[in-house]
Amino acid sequence: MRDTTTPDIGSLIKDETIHSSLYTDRDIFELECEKIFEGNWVYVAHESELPRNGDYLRRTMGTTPILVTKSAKGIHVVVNRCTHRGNLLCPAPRGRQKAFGCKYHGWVFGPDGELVDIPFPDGSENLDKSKLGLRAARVESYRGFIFASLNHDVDDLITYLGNARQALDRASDLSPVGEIQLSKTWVQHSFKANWKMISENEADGYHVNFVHDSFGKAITPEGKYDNVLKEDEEGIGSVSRYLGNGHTEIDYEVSYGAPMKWLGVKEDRYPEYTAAMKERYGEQEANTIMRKGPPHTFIFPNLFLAETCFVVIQPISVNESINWHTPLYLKGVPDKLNQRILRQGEPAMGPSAFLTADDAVIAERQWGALDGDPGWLDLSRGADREVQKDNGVLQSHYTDETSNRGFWNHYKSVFQ
Amino acid sequence: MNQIDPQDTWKHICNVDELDDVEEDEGLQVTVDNGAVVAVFRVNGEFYVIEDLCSHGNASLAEGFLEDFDVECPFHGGKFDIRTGEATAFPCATAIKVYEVKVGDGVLFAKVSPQAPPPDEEAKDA
Repeated sequence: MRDTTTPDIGSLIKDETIHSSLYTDRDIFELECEKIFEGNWVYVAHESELPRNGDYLRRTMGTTPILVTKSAKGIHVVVNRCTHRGNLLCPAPRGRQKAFGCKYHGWVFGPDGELVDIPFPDGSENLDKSKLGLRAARVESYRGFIFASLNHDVDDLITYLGNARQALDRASDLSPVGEIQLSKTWVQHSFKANWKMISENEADGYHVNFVHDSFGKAITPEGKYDNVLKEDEEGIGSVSRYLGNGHTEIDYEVSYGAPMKWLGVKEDRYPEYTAAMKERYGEQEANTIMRKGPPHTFIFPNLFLAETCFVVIQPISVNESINWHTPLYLKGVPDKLNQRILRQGEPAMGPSAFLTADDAVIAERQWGALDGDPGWLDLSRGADREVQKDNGVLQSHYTDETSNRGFWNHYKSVFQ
Repeated sequence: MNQIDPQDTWKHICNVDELDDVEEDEGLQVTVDNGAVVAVFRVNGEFYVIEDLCSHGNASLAEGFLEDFDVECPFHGGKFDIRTGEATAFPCATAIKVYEVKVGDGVLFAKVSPQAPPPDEEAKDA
């Protein structure tokens, strides 16, 4: 075991500057796993991925392997590690079974983690099976988004989501049945960088015109991002927000001047969809929803609703992370609309696309340049022009570091 | 030796429509009035009633999933043919019981004997 002294995280985060060791210090990474990923709510799955009893998904909470399972009793999140000798209990990424038998010595656990059987039981007669169940997380969901906390003594999920709850509504409400639908396939993009370099970047509007300039050059000038891909600062109307509890957002609403612009189409492209939306929400509300479009919101510490993409951030080590993404499909819409969502995700986040690959390069260069040569990093941009809105939300210009400062303020509070 | 009317051994298992809520590849666990626990499956409209307890681990086969006519034990992945009871995949090696079925007036019946008594009592009876 390494000789470790607990890093004083509070001293590394000031109002408008942070210390770069927050990205590169191995001891800080271990503390994050404990305090952030095992200490409070973490996004784990969406209910649309578990339609039937017996369905399960293999995921992680920080570096802890977990299973998300569905039984007649509900959704369960349990640590995916046999309590006997620590073997990864279930190696398959997803599937359907109502019990999990360990491949090492055959111990069997139910979907809620209960130890239900030990083979050749005579020799294990004195074991108290009730004490050897899988560690189970507290589980709550909102609009089908399942969050889990290995620390049971936390605020309820709604309180934790706070102002970010509206982002889950905003995404779900784009469906005429009020639900998103995730597919079975994900792209996993490896970043040789710290997980916070992904998390923080999600609502960083400042980098877009530089890191993603090739994207700006390639897409049509009248596209849905024409409001933010600009050379003049005043012309950008989109805003960055800090929502509280580490949740951050960029709002492209002002960029989406007409219904369906968020999908890059004219309002009458999918009449069946428009009709279904008006049927469910009424004409006025449906038009508002279809004009506002999807959220661009990061929910601390690992979920990013990236408009029509769905992103989950997995920390592996202090300098390795995986960016998972899949299309954010809508339930109850024409197949062609979901196909367009898929097609939009490919140039944005696919392996040879514009955004994720660009972000990975920058994050990796940033990590490499910081490791071994620590220093203070500036996050002051826009501090004197941000404004406080309802419920404590801080809002500022698209390119301001309001979201980043909020992220770090919350991060600091986790360790206090 | 007592003569038993074969009709007396038909046991009420469940109403046929109770299977409507069960997916095609899943089973329904039923405790029969003589204490026997059985698993009921329906494949292509035909009913199969088998002993619920796996002959290997302490698992309910009604919790397993069907692949064609093989039910896979949820614990260790052994399999049984629900038509014959034969064990078809390791680690299961001992056959389980299968029961004759009939349907009448929307009710499923099966000829289910009581749970097997321990071997020494069986020997005594013989």
